[in-house]
Amino acid sequence: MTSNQVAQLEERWRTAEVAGDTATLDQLTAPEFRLVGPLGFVLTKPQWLQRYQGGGLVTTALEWREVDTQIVGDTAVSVGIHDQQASYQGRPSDGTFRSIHVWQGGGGEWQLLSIQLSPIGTFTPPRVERP
Amino acid sequence: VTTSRGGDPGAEVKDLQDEFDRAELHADAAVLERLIADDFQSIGPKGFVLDKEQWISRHSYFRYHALDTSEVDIRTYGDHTAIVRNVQRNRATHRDDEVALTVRVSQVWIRYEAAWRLVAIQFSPMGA
Repeated sequence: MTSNQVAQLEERWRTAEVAGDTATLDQLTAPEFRLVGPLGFVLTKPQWLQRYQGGGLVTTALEWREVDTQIVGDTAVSVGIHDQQASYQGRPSDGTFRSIHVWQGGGGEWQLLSIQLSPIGTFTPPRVERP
Repeated sequence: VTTSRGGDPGAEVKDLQDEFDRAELHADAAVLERLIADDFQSIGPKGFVLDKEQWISRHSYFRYHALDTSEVDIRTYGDHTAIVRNVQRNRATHRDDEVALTVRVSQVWIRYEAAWRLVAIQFSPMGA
């Protein structure tokens, strides 16, 4: 695996997020995948995939830039800036975050193990109606 | 760092994570130098990035008074990769300011031949 190949996988991930393409996101992530959000919440893979179901999350634009990828054996760690324009339950959820992606290819297909987002400065989350 | 605990990667990584946390609490630069990979990268709770040298040298202006972890989740992938996620509650002095943070932390450990090294750490502040 080379940095360019990791970049191709990350472009598939980025495109799938904007398309709300849960089938591709499912394919790109390991069963034990976790997302840690910018306010410290943790989503399991099923919870992460469900974001796009029912129109809860709509990502209209996503940049993944200033990426620095280190590859050690069958593991790749990418550090970059995740810049999104999105809405959650109809409310703006735009944000610019620093993020680490961890990929692993030990099982054959390279898959994401982890995405974590950290705010750059402060982040105001969207207000969400709770039942 | 040599492997131990009968070759159980999860147990080895737990020991190293505990050693890393103690070294952070006590600003033990020699232990941090040994545990951290040369191409280490970190993302702090406000998005700033530090490399290995910057991470270790930050202890000249940053000092922990307390560092407690909970919700520890250690996952290993094969024999060479592990991710430790936990919640850290800390009190510290940053330059002249007293700070107290609760953060979700992820740590990525990779084994290089016989030695595990910390290759990445990332902090996200816990929301209300």
